[in-house]
Amino acid sequence: MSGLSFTSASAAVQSAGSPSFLGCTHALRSRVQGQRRATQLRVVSERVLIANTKGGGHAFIGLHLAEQLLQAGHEVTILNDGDEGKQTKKAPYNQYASLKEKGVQIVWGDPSQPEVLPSTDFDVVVDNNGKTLEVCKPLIDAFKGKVQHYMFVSSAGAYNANSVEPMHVEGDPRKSSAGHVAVEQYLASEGLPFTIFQPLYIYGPHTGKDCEQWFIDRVIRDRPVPIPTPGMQLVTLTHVEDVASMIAAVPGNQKAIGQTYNICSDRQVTFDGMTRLTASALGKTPQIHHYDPKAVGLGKGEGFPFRTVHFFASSDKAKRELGWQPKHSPAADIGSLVEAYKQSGRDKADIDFSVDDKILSASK
Amino acid sequence: MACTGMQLSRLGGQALEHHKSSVAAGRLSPQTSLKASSRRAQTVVQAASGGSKNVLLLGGTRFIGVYLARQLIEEGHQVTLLTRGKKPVTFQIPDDTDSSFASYKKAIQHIAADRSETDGFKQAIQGKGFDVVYDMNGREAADAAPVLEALPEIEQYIFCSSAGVYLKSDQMPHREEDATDPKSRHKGKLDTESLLSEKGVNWTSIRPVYIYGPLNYNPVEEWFFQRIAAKRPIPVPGSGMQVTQLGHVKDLADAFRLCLGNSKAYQQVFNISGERFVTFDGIAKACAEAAGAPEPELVHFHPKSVEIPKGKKAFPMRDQHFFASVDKAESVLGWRPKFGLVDGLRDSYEKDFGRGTMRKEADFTADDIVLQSAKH
Repeated sequence: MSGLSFTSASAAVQSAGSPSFLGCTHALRSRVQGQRRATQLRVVSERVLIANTKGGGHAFIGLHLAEQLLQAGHEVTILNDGDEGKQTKKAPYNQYASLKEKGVQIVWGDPSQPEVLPSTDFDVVVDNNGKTLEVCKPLIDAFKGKVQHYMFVSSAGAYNANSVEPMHVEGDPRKSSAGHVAVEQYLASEGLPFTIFQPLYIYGPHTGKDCEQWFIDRVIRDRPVPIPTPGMQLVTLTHVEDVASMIAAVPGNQKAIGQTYNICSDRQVTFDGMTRLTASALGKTPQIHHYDPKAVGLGKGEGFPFRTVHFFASSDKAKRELGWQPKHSPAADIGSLVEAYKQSGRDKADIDFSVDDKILSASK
Repeated sequence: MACTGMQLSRLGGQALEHHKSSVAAGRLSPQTSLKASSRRAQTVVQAASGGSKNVLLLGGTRFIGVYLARQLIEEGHQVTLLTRGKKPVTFQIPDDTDSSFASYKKAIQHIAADRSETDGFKQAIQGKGFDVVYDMNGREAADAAPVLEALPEIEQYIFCSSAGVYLKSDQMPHREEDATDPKSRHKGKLDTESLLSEKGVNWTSIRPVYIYGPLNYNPVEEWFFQRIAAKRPIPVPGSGMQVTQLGHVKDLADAFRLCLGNSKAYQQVFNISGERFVTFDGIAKACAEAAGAPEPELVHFHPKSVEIPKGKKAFPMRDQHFFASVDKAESVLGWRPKFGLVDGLRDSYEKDFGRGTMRKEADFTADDIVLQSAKH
């Protein structure tokens, strides 16, 4: 994944004129020509800016990415949207204090107003904030021509659903009206050295959005689990560390420039299967209740945490080109996810099951 | 840039034949440049002089072996088919040209023997200098054992297994390291893999999913093409969202060929099939598109609420998700399927089923039962 690369010190000093090398005085940069071998330490340190969102399923990518970039020897700044006082009361932002201790600079401000940044001396920008061109454009414009690498965390949700060949592969048609797609097109037309990432649903420590918790809430309380029929829909659930490790592998990797990668586990589970895995981890018998969301009269996104069609993607391109490998899968992780749930005390919490009850009574 | 007649005539005799037959066989697009074609011809010559193997192919006259044998001969290897000899061993197939078939027929060798008559079989294959065995039709470990006994010095044993050995799982796709099902009806394949592993021979096991393509004798695409030809609605169990995977036989043959003399394949299992997965509804639609027919009417039914007479099937595939990851073969063997779903089915349609050549008479008994029940 990481490559050993040294430049001669003179090459680094030579380019002292260009803005992106201004930071080289405080970073050891050296690159050696020669064969890249598979397992080596990364010595090149990049100055990375992560623009991070203030909520939703992607929120904790910034946290885990920052940690992995630090471990790889990079310098990290997070520009986080939202109000510090409000945000740091909840996950994942309640972990930012520990990031600061490790040397991450955290700036609270709106990434669509990059003037809030004290400086624009960065080698790499990762936009894990915007979903529309309106929000993303100012940041892109601020760093155009200045960074070596501009990464955008987009979404696999922008792929057109395909009922014939449901697995999403890079290059498949995307929803032309999707905000993410407009950003992707802008990055390309403005000629930035971009890499685009398309994650699906993400789980793991310090998330800001439920994933497996929805299943555990019900099974741990011996409640029936309402599953949109037929229950065999396949969904990719990816551990945030695998998401972060792909993004972290890319700074400095020229091959990734101009490329788009799905970020996801190489395993999928069915809705019924996720229920069974959860029940098995809790030592309980699963109670699966299939229903038709349309017949029950539910609104879009109501009653179930995932899209009700197949939603899974291939990460083979990242494996081939980046040498990336996922380390997690839902089946391997469910035990620790259940433990974390119990540790958090959520099993004692009052959960709102009113939509469940509506479903169960409407679809007896 | 397409080869003009003039350019073609500048290719030397053997290279020209090779180029023509490769184009006819679909291995080279007609647009392949002269340069690339001569390079391929060179490979043929190199294989013949340097890395040529003496190959025993058990089976080889029904489906996969028909394509594999041709590919191996083209690579310059010596290939012997072993069959009982009840049917013609060499027959021209739609992918042949007259001249490519003539050279194949000239090169291919045959041994007539019955695997179930162990002593005669072992005698027939001993002392012939075989380097590599492709076991395309072994079903039980007992089928493989005599081969290993007769050929203890064999360099490599490449076995056609099945992805049907995987245990049904909530987590997909099937990967080579996943649990297998001791109760599977393909248990014999599993036993064979274990035997090969025990015996310390350099073995490779290939696990295909659903195989399709011209000459297919299993009712996979044929079942759909028959209904499309008869302009009948297509019954699909359940939601039709079941995900499975079709692999073109020529891509499968390619994978088998890439294992030959490849130490990276030793003691390894590889899933081989198409890169993309397809839903049951999707196969019906893709077959219609391949046949140049309008989008078919699909009738979804509950398998439990219809009574299908024994011996008949309401649908040709197992009613569950069934698909496997092929990324191991891609990264280890450098293999990649050349066919996508629709162009692969079109190849099968144009070279076989679209010509009206079906293996079985169409039987719509089960369909009619399903359609009747769907009316209520």
